[in-house]
Amino acid sequence: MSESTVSCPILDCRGVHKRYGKTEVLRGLDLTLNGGKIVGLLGPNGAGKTTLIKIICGLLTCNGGEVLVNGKAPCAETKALVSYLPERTYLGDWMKVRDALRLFRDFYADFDYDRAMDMLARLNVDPTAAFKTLSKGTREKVQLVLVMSRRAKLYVLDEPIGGVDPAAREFILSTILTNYAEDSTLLISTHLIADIESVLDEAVFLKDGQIVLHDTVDSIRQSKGKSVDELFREVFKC
Amino acid sequence: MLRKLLKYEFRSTGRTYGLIYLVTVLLAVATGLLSHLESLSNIIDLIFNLTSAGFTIMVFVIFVVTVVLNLTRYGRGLYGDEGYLMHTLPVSPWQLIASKLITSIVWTIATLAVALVSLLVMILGSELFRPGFWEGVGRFFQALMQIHLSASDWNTIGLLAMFCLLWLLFLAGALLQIYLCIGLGHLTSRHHAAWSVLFYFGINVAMSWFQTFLADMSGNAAGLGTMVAGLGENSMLTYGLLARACLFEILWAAVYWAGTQLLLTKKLNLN
Repeated sequence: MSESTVSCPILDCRGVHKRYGKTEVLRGLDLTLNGGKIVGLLGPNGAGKTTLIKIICGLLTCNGGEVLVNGKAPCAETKALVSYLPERTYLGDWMKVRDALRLFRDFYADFDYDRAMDMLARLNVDPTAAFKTLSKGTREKVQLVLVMSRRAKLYVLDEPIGGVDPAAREFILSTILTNYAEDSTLLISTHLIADIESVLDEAVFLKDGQIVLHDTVDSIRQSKGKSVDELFREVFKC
Repeated sequence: MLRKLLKYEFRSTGRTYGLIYLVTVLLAVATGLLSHLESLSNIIDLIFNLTSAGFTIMVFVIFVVTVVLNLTRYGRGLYGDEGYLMHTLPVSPWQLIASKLITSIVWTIATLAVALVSLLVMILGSELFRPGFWEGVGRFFQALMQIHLSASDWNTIGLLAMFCLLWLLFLAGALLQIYLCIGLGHLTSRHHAAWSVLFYFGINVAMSWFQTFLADMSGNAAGLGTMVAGLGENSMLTYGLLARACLFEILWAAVYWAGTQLLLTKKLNLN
């Protein structure tokens, strides 16, 4: 490993701009994340969370600024380091669950096949089941299992607990916490702060395409005298 | 990684193609065999008519499905929900393009082969019970073993091989042009399919103007007709024309590839 990759942050966003047509979604955003943290990317709907995440994962190109993952712009090499869970299901209906596991095993050197099978067994998901026969919630859980069975340097989870029931939320958070590598960074975007606050090390508030706050959760509680959820409601009140 | 992508692509489409190819061949076999028996009863005659109609429809269907899958595997695979998977795999854009292109070409050739083979199977099936059929097959293979190819025959085979190469390059270029148009269509905010079609027609119009301009400049409007006429007459001229045509196809394919890759690398905006 070169010296530059040992010392550089896992994620470095500098002056990132992104617009859709005339609408500017990200306005000169700066964000730096180091390894070994669970970071909440928090903001209301339309704040630019998903846009930023997609740029990090190479699914969108920014109009200005730069995004570096482990010191490199998003490319095949950085994609090997990033484990991404999108909001939507992206696996083909033609696939069976075990096809998806085999695909991840083929493409990702850090994928732990046995761990994934173990998690599926605990979920009572039949590996020979076709995706088209699974409910939406089960598909999402299978995708989560795939993502969290990798030993990635950066996990990027876009609204992993949005749109699921409280019991499922608890399962998802527990899966996330018990399966991510401790020297890795977890970036979780959500607007459901109360459910996730207890697991966060750092919080990033995203408002109108810019970072308005980036601090540790402990520091926020001490300096502001309130929880992250309470501060969020205050900062983003309508 | 390209091999893994190809494995994934073939697996995702193999079931569909396998099924329609199987149905086509089975209908061809049934039609061929029933052709002997159709006069035996009205019911058999009805079944024969159904299988022969079904075979005709299936030949049409396999070509339509091939075209549709070639388009959708690229469009939906890289710009739809599946794009969230494909673009986050640790592969380069050129590998994504190559995997789609290679599988599309392979399935197109397979579809042509299945159509021809099933037609042959149907014809053979209809001849199977005629007197002298097996003797005829034996004579055919004997004659095949005794073929001694002359220089002229090898020349013809060489030219046919070059025609096949030209056709392959044309197919690759046509697919890459479609990929480019799909990518251009996705630069717009809405109505991607409609814009892709418009870009396709626009590029075709521009291409035909450009080719006419080139032909006028070189004073040589030789096309396919001249090449075919050259067979057996002036084969060196035909080889030259074929080689030039292959070069043009490679050039356009390279341009389309470069454009497609640029769109995936610098202008990707998955929504």
